[in-house]
Amino acid sequence: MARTIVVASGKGGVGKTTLTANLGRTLAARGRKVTLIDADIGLNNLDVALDMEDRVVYDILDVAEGRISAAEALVQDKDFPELKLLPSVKCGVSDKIKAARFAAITALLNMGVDYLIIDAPAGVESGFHRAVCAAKEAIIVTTPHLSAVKDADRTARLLSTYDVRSVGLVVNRVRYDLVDRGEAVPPEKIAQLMRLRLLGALPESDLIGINALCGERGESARAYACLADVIEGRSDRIYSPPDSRGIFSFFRRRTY
Amino acid sequence: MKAAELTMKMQQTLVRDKSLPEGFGKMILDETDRLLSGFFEYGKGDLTLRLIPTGRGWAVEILLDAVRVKNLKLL
Repeated sequence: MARTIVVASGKGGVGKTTLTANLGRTLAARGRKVTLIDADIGLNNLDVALDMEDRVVYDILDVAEGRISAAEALVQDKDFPELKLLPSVKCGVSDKIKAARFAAITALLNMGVDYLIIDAPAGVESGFHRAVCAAKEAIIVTTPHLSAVKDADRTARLLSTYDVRSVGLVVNRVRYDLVDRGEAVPPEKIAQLMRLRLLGALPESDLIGINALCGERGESARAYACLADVIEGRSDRIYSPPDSRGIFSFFRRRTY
Repeated sequence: MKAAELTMKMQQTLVRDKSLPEGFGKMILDETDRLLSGFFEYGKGDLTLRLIPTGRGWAVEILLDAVRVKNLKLL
């Protein structure tokens, strides 16, 4: 039975799709069987982030309407064969896929994989409801910006009304240079204020800004590896860049 | 803006006064247990706990077979 994790945020543009794609690739690189589901119907981008858009033939609507089986609609990643994607629909037919149908499709894909990661749409309306209904765990993504934190907090509260067992926080696009200078709130403090368990902190990256994928080396790749370790229960270590690990940085961050 | 100011602003934004304080669930159970032990027999009636916001804090109304037994004023 796979672990079914929904990646949600409330606010758009904080990096849900990027996180889903990179976390999926990181886990698949370790040999885990991962299926990603794009639940952002109408404004889907997960196939683009994973560079799979040219190979998409069928989508979730074809599965929901019974034209094809869920397994047949999956698109396999070129680099990591263990990583598969159930693409979403480009046109706005969101109402045609009800939450119960979406949960049934998720249950079908649950067999024989280790992780099922659902990329939820922004907002807390029907699309969010559909994505969350099918999940047992949730990752809330936020950036250190106040508006994103506020929306993420509302999303976390809303999640408590669903059958989601554990909710964790990932702070994306952290500017560690600003954190070290005392000009930005550290991810640990954001998690403390939101009363959520911090699963990971991901640094701001120009590479991801351009390409969406973090690659196999570099700061972002290390941050995603730490996040994957925490999700797999192998470690509790939250990523911090080498410059932020010094004794002075530690005390500076402790004082906020 | 410094991190301390931003933290303060974030703290103010994440308004918590409408949410239940931490440890509230355990407190309700402890208080209810203390109050009911001795006279409430399991399976001999419907026990209902009603959570009521009082403006400043919260109160718990304990009903036994839809009859109010006790009001606990917590926090």
